[in-house]
Amino acid sequence: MGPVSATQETDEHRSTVLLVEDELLLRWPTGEYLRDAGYRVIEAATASEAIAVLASGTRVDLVFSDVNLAEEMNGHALASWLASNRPQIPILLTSADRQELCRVAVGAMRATLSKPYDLSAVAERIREMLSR
Amino acid sequence: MPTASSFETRTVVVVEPDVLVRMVIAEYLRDCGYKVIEAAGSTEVWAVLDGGHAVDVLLIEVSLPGAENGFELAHRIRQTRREVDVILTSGVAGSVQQSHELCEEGPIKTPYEPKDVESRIKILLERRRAAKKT
Repeated sequence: MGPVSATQETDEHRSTVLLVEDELLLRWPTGEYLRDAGYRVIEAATASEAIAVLASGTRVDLVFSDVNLAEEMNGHALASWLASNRPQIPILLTSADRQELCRVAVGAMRATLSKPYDLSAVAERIREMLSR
Repeated sequence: MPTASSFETRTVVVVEPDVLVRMVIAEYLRDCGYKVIEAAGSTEVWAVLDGGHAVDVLLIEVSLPGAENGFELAHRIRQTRREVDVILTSGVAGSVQQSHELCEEGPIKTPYEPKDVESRIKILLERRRAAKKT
């Protein structure tokens, strides 16, 4: 089944980033920055919300997720789910805890960015990953 | 009547626990020209309000999980933040209808039909139901 979109034509030309962050006061400005940079951004507060979006067939080109999420499933678990269920979607993982980021098996589909981050650095990493 | 330019920075907080509904409603309101903050529940709403962010309208789904439901949240905001408009919604059709009315007042008049917004949400919810069965 193909992705659903509202009737907006422009959605077809914009890459979609699924932003997973439980801290609203960080999720919102990050989302707004990426929208201003030209991305369509879907916001999820938990890994289970992210999976609900992915499983609904909504088009997602890249996942940008915090490792440390409030609920039982963290960013590592979300990356594993993605590798098993949507292996074509790359994930960029972020954390303030460098040890957590060291556990990530970085590869073609998985990259890391430490917190706190500059929003311009986030946009740059996403652009790089999507151009591969 | 306010002019279109006075709406440029109008901020709507969409308070909706279901990510699939929230995603579509938020996108619709953004396409109507609003700034949209997406909140999954009352804790996130208070983080925004107590953080001193300028908010013009809150669109609140009545059935919110957690300590404070939509009615209670709306009541507390109306008592303490009289400058903010509070709109209560119930169910997908209600959220779409209220968003459509906001769109009509917004800087960009209804970029697409509200019935398309509602059917998009229904398709997503149906796919989720189907995925759970398998």
